[in-house]
Amino acid sequence: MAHMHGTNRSRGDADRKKSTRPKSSRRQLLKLAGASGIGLMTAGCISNVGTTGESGGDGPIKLGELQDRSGALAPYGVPKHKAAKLAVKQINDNGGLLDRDVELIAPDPQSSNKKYKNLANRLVLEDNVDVLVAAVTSSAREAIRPIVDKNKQLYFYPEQYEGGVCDEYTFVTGAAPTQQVRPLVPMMINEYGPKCYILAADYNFGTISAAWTRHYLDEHGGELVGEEFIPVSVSEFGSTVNRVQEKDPDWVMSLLVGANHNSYYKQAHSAGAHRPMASSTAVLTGFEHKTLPTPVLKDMYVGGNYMEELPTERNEKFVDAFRGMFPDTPYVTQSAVDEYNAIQYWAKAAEKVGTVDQQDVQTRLEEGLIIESPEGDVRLSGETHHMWHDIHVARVDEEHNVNLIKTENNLEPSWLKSKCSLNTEESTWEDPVTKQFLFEG
Amino acid sequence: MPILTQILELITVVLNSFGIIALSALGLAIIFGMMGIINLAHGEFMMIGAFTTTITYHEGVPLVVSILLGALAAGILGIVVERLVIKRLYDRVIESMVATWGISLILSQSVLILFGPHLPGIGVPFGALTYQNYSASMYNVVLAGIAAVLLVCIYGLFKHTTFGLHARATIQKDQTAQALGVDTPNVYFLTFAIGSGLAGLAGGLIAPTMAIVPTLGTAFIIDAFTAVIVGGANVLIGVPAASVSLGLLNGVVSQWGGSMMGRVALLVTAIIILRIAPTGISGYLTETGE
Repeated sequence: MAHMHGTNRSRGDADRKKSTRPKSSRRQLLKLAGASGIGLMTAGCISNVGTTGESGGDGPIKLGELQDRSGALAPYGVPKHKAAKLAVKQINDNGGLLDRDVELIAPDPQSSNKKYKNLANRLVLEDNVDVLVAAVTSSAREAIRPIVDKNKQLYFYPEQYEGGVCDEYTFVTGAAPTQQVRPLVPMMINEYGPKCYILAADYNFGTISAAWTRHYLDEHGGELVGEEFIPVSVSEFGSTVNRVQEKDPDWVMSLLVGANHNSYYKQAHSAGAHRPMASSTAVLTGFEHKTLPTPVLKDMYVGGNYMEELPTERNEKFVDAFRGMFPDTPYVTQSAVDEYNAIQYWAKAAEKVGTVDQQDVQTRLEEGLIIESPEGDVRLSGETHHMWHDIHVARVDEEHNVNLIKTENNLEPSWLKSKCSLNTEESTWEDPVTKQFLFEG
Repeated sequence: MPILTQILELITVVLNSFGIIALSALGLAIIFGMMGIINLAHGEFMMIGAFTTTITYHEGVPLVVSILLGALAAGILGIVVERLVIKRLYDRVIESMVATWGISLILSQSVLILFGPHLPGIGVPFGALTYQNYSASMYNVVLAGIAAVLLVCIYGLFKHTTFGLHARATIQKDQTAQALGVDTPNVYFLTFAIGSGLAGLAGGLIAPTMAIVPTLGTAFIIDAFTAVIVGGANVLIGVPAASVSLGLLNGVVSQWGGSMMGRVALLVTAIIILRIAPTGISGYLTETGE
């Protein structure tokens, strides 16, 4: 009986005998490895040329930006990057900042936290950026915050998250759970019932946001019937859908993140396991209502500080400008406006103190500042480095239209407020507080 | 929870797992088993199939035709890649890995540049199977059925056609086959085309259940490779055996422990099988069953 492995093939050699045929010899392998190594080093050197030097005097002001334009997080990062380009263009078209042009230095971290670290080091240490605006996920933010802290780099984190960051050099323009999750939970309990199943992405944002959800469920008489943490790379939800059906919740809290997790909505719907849902991540940041087929997001309730549908004149102008510069935009996201706000705060503070020196700008920001954002007039709190927000709750219908239901005005980051006073002697530029308080429920 | 419902749930999860593993692995197994080429671009061929299916579907083409177009697109791409690159790398395992890895990068980044980070998805067809308070997506069961049919067809192709005979001769002893008049370069060429086409078909079939992103191939490549190695060199025995065993364990464990534990179980199973049978299931069966 013929032996199934071809003995005249070198593919069997790897695990057994040495080949007597010189096809893939060690010498060739070493040559190949050497050539690849030289190639990689050259590529690395080439990409580093041309962006060194201090940013002072008459050169352009450097705005360093890191947002994912490829990989699983691209749906969140691409709109943010567009918002940055719009903000910088608007500044430069109006004569620049302090009579200098703003230059956007924005390499793509490709949804990889390792690249975030490398690129953050590069932007801070080689390019000497005057401000860093970076990260979608909380894991990316926590990957680069040590770099920010060590180098005293003024940094904006422009995204909704799990709350708790109290860092001398970091300003957060996104909303926290006390602002976003809090209005959603009692609304869902009143509308659909107390039984909730939580589906969360399996990293710091998901676990802590789930803790907040449980906290609000307790507070409002809800009942947790199940909870699952799913790695960001998973796209098969067969067993999850089964469990949701088994536990039969009245509604599902979705803290899912990334393109792979979008498959859950499709798979749940096609299995007949659709439930009303609430989410602080879906739709407003990831615009799934534009990319998933109707009606898989029917009865999804979302809460956030911004949605494209806000009916104010200022917002309509902003949306027109955004779509004018980027005609094939599917949706103007909350993430994009969070980034736009960050750049607005930074530019306004710099104007007011007449310099982009990072410590001076930070000091001015800590005095509190209001900007005219597409989401409204919004205030930055000097003590927490976070923002007050108006929070809007909307419902997605079966045609995937987003319908505004109610607005709660001027919600402050209340949990952090009791713990964090960055504009006092407790935390100074030279002797800073740089922590994140982790809510445990 | 009534026991019948639990059994039904388990069956659907296992079928789903089996179907996806079998579909992902089949194209890769044919190329690796026949040609000894490790095609690291396999996931991207699936992605090309999924993208073609999605784009043509949104232009109004019926879903079945769109899926076949996805297979065709991947097959044509496979032909191009084979003629330009693979042809020069038969028998050169390491070089073929580097080359196909490069191709995978080119494909995923090109699709990203041309079509953006994601496309609007396709709705899942066929609706739900229901029984009392249990329901599951009919499509997952359909996928498993299609996977089984494909395995049978591939078996028929390789056992009962002249091409199949030539292909099996080439895999066993290519120089002897060539000496007997088999056009071995042509066999390799057709094999790579078939393997790529099957990858595209898998991508198109799975597309309705997934978010359509340029990196969607990466979700399947690990399972595909694991199934191919566990199955062993003989595609006809190996792929079904590996898909069933890995699919069963992945499905059972994920039903009770979550999808993460299911993946752990799949990989642990692979390790155990390979420890017992280093040449894969089909290698083991061949050696002991003679």
